[in-house]
Amino acid sequence: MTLAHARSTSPAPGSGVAAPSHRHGGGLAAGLVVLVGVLAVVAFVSVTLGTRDVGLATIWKAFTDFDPDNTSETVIRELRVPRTLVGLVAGMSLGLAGAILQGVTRNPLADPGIMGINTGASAFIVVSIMVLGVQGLGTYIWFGFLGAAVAIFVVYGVASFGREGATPVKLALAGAAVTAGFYSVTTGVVMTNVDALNELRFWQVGSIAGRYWPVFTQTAPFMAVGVAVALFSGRALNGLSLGDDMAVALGQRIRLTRSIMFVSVAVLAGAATAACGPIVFIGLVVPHVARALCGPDYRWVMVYTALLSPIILLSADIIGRVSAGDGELQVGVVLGVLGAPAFIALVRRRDLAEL
Amino acid sequence: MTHELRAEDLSLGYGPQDVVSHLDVEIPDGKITVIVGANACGKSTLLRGLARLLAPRTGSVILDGKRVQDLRSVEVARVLGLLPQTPVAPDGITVADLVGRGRYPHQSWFRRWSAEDDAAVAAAMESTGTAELADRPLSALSGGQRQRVWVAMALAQDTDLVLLDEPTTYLDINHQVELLDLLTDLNRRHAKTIVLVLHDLNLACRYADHIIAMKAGAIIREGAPIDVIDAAVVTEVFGLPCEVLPDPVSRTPMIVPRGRHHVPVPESV
Repeated sequence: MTLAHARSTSPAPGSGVAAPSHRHGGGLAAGLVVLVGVLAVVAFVSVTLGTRDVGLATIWKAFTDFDPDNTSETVIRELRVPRTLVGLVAGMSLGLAGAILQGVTRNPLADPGIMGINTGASAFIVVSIMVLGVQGLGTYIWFGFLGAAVAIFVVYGVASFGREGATPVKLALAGAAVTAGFYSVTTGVVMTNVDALNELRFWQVGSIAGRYWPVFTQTAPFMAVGVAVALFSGRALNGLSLGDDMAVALGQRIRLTRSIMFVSVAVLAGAATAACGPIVFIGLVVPHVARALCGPDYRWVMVYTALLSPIILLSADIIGRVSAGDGELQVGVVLGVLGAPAFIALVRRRDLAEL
Repeated sequence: MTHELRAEDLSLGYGPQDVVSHLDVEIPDGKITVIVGANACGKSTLLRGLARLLAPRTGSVILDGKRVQDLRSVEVARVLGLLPQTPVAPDGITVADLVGRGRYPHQSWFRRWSAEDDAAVAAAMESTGTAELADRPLSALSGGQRQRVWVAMALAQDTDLVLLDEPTTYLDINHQVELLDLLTDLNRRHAKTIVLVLHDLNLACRYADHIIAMKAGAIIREGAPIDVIDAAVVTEVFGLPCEVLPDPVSRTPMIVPRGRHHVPVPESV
């Protein structure tokens, strides 16, 4: 029976090894196909739907026979497509950053938003623009990485004090404190400069509107690297999920693994924040949804998260576009409204501590 | 295959003080070694040191002639396995998945899940009696079943040396004996060298080929239980006045504590 069971294996994506899976690998792979389909639909809607009503024929023409003088075609090519692409990679990045953090810290509340990583990245970016006079996304994205790394270092360091290490509560508390600190810095700097205040207003709340091609081309390569590392880290996260002692006993180099994972989180969260501002809840909630769908094997969790996150981010962006009449709600606002109840539901779960 | 596991001048600790200091110890190959001692005597620390979970402050752990810290971690993991005192598992993981995780050191980016992995997992679940639990989530099992699953995972790792840190702690007496019988089977049938930390002295004496009694980070006595465990040693190690009788079942030393309210009653009364 055991042999028969063990043989019902299928290769897990994004890894060199497959393992017996409690749910059938075929079912999990079918789920992936469905998610890819849903993502394609959501991306399509994101390109077609907006305050300006653009017909499908015009959209088709924008790609096949572009007329630069046609405003509708320009809106599609220069606004909606890059906006959708930024939402796609930023969603993936934030979701995977959350999944990695949850795996590395074995903490279900770990998330780049809650741990202050996104706020750290945005504080460094704002300071670099306003105080240091840094110009251009290509430069200040590095301040985003730095801010993310500083936040990880401080929050994980503070939360790790004491015998039982970085418990969910300590991590959330340290994250809240660091978030408040960074947020004050950002607010203080922004308040002193009225012109910049206006410009930063939308970015602060988290938005993928007005993210044109330069934003995509300058941040996407970093996010692509981070996403690739994340998709290949399932095996390592599976090892860590059994506890440090067991991970070492199984031959894993846990310090090296943790370091690589934290660097990739800094890149993912830093670049996503540089592109869209601090967007919360994706990193927190989506990995849990993924786990509910595919079980605890991180090789699957990472792939499911990578597909679910942009679906949710783009859907929230679409909701923001259609729900506010003539104007738009920023995706960060929509996700906040939708994410808060999800967060509360998560905290109320009894088995929260077991990850 | 024979293996050598020993410590030379080994000091280990967490805080400023050494928990284990300048210890020399050799684990006999192919035998069951049990480490006993009072709480905080350093027995778990020694086991963790032997399993390279703690870096030595002085000296080293030698595995097959080489210092463990000089070996690649994954190479060590193919020879030496460890079951920690309180292992954790991700929520919702099934028995078969968990046992399969034991194959980690035998896999790599280039080596996929193989027939050998299948066989090792199947054999591990077979010999621990966990095969019928394969599809159950770990969280749904009783303490005794769960501990057998963890042992199965350590077995799937397929190491000649298996270290277990207080594997019987949360089990009732029935499951303690069942688990120790299982470990004895593994030792006899598969010639595995087993090292475990145990609290129950009577079970330790019954199941150990070699017993190591520790106090305050030092080894007080070591050897076959029948040779080294007597009332004086138990009193020294645990600070407990006691009688030591032959176990009516196994003839190994059996410790009967005295305590303040109970003194030996003459048999003729």
